[in-house]
Amino acid sequence: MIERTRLMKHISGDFFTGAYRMTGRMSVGASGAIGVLNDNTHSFAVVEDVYISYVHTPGSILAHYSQVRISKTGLEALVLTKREEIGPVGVARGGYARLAQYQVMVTTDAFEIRGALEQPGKYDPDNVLFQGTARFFPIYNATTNACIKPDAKYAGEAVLINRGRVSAFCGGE
Amino acid sequence: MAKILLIDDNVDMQKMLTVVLKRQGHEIASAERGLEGIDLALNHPFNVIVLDVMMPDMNGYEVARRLRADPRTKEIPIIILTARAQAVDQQAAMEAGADVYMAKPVDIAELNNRIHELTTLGRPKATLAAAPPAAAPASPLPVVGRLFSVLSWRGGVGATTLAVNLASAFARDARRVCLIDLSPSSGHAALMLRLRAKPNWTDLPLDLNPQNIGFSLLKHESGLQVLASPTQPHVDVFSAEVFNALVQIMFNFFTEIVVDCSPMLDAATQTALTLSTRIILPVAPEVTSVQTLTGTLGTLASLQIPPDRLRIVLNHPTPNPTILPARIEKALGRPLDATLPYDAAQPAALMQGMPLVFSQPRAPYVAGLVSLLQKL
Repeated sequence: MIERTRLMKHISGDFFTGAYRMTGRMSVGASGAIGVLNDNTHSFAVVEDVYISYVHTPGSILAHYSQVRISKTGLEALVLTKREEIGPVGVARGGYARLAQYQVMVTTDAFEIRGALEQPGKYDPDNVLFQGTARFFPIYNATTNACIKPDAKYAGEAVLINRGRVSAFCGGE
Repeated sequence: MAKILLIDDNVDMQKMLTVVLKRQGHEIASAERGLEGIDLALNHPFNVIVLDVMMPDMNGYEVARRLRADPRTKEIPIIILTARAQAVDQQAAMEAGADVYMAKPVDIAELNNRIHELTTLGRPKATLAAAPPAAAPASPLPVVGRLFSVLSWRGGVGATTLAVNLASAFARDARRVCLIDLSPSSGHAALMLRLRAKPNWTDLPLDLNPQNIGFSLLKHESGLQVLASPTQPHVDVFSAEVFNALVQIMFNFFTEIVVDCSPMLDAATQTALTLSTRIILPVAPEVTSVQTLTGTLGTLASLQIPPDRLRIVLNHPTPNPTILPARIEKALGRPLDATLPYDAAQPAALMQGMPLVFSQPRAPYVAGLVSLLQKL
């Protein structure tokens, strides 16, 4: 019998729910963070070594847990420092077509995220918001800030946003 | 070589840092828990503490606060390492009492540089003000940070380059620094950092306060913030009162302010000189520059600025000096405090908008700058 091993790696990121910032490590496979978050067979993402802060006091650590299950429905955004942590190009972009960048601002209940949306061809927010079954979509070179504390900004080469939590999708220039 | 205490719950990280730092000749002690680390620090003399933030029993911020609160450990430089790499985390680390903040994954060369600087230069002297003032009175200025003015009334001696690199050196050390370009006729500080000079000080709101001042500042990727000068000549320069209020508000957010002074003795420059912790006077090795500096020293004396606040820096903006340092010292009647060598990489660094401090930290110019920093 051939024993198959899965190549797993850890990515670190800031997981934002409406009121909390959770910094921790998530174990991801070959499809990266977007693969884990868009896996519709699991409702929760398992995050390890998690430090929890309130969004309104993001520098203060409220609690630490070695493992936390974060509801994908409740997760508004995941800020990743490095773009490659999102996952392979084919998975993150949905293909290998030549892409154009559009500057957008996306608002959720608690956050606003500004960055570049990458799409093949013309600007098509409907494609991002309504088509397919993916729950999270990426915005690149993004800055996220909480409406409750707008001066605290979280910069990352990539942010995964829960499209079910999007309240406004602005821009396209 | 230094005695270093590593406080990190990640054993692999601890082992890796121990090996690397021992190779540099340092003596290493380590702790896996915050309380254990505090206990070690209280009972053994350490030159530097390298501290992780995310530890289970007591986080690094709390450890730093306790170390700062105890007279036995309050002067030990602290380097905070953390995977929490956002600006708010840097702010939290500095407020907790860290001297240097570094994001993981750790750049070993950078960590070595920081340890070397902390063990040779000691802790930065400035402390951060706890809270913004309710209003912005014109005077007196609270002494909560350091203000450095770079002044040359002769062009071409590298004053703006020096101001930009000096501010960059503070930013590199994770200090909160703002560079103010006071030139009323197209200053170049923003350009040298590859920033578009909009907004600039002509966009400052009339009702200056801690809430609105940030909208007029440019932000460099290093964390350095810049109050730029307009790109077109401007007649309405700062009044002394406005500049004083501006600096006072800024010290709520910044630990160091570097002012690239105007090439004329206007009210803002005069106020900056009066408020300065140190006035840095670059001089080029040429007769005309020395003559201008001689006059400048006379003017500063008439403004009753104590001579011990002045630092004279021999800068070499070109490779061929026409006058020897000894002759300059004789003409000025005082010794030179530092020398910045000619650096062929300087023009390219300026063109790329990346000061030598960031692009070539081992350049001779940066080494000269470090020796100047020791004398500030």
